[in-house]
Amino acid sequence: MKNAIILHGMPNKDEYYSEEFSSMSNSHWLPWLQNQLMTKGWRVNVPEVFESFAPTYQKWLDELRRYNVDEKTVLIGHSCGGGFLLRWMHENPNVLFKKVILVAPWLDPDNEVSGDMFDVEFNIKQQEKVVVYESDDDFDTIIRSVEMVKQFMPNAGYVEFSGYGHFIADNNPKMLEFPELLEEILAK
Amino acid sequence: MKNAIILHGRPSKQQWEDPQFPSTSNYYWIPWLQKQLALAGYDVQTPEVPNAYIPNYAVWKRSFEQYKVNEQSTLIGHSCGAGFLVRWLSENVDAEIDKLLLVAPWVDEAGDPDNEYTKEFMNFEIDKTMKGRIKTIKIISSSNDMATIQRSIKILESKIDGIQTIELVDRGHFYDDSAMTFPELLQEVLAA
Repeated sequence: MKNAIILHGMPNKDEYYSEEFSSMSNSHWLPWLQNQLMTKGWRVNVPEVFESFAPTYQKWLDELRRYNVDEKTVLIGHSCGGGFLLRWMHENPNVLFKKVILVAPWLDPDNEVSGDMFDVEFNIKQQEKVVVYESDDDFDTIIRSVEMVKQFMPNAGYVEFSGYGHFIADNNPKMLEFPELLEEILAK
Repeated sequence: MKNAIILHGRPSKQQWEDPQFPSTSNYYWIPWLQKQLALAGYDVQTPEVPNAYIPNYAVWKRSFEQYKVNEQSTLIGHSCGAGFLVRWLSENVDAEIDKLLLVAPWVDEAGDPDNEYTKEFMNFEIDKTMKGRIKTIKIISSSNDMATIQRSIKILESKIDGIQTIELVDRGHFYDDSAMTFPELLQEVLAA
């Protein structure tokens, strides 16, 4: 069965504890994407990482491990969730999956909040099954993260967007949907 | 760590197939409650059962069991999801949890005649004594809910010792545009 796992990123602590913001798994384009894939017959899981404002590799891993990952699985990670998937591929070089899509992956280049989460010499084996989305007007910390990713993962696909910011819907309701990403997931 | 699992009910096939109608775990009061409980320090998961319009117990079980429950867990189920929790807790007699909150629960196979899946889903023995391993068991009902839900509540009240019912007035099936938030349910989760 075609299946997908969508991993959200890191909110700041104020957002996490603010009534004004939805849970991370209910934010931006994530619920829309889940619904679009489900109505096409996919099994889709969108976990919520507990206290995601203080990221660790283990927290995201505990969520991912709930689910069966196989040769039909497409994994999508946004921001810190994308950084997590890089570490996960590094730790599991031979793991089966169909495709990994990293939307604005973040590697905490100044090591401000993520402890040792990204503190490895990245060596990614299945690069040709990975696609990275970047936007020309994303945060500086993301642009520098993607530069790092390009160094250790030169054989991945890179898709550059213009004016998509950090691919988030805050002040930009257009990002409550993400048709380009849906198309990428559905592509052979 | 306090934790909660919110299990959605069974959408109609038409809703489920409609790309404009949100996934069942992402609609009405479920995302709101998830956020409110996160604010209160809970680890909260809202599983999405594949093909949820089909009450296939094996599929619901597989989906639910991806999440772990413990004595600090609050399990919240809506409609068919509440019926699922009653069956799962009846069959898993070692499961000890803190709270079981059944919102408009459905355990009445007569409400969906001639559906083999429903028949099988509802075909189980309710554990009369489950209160011994669950501190609080409450039904939240609505005075004008469907007949099959009213019958389900009668069944549960007669078969589970120590179960309590809170009846709210004219709230339908807690499954329409007036149910985007659910303060009474939040209060029950947070109650000591």
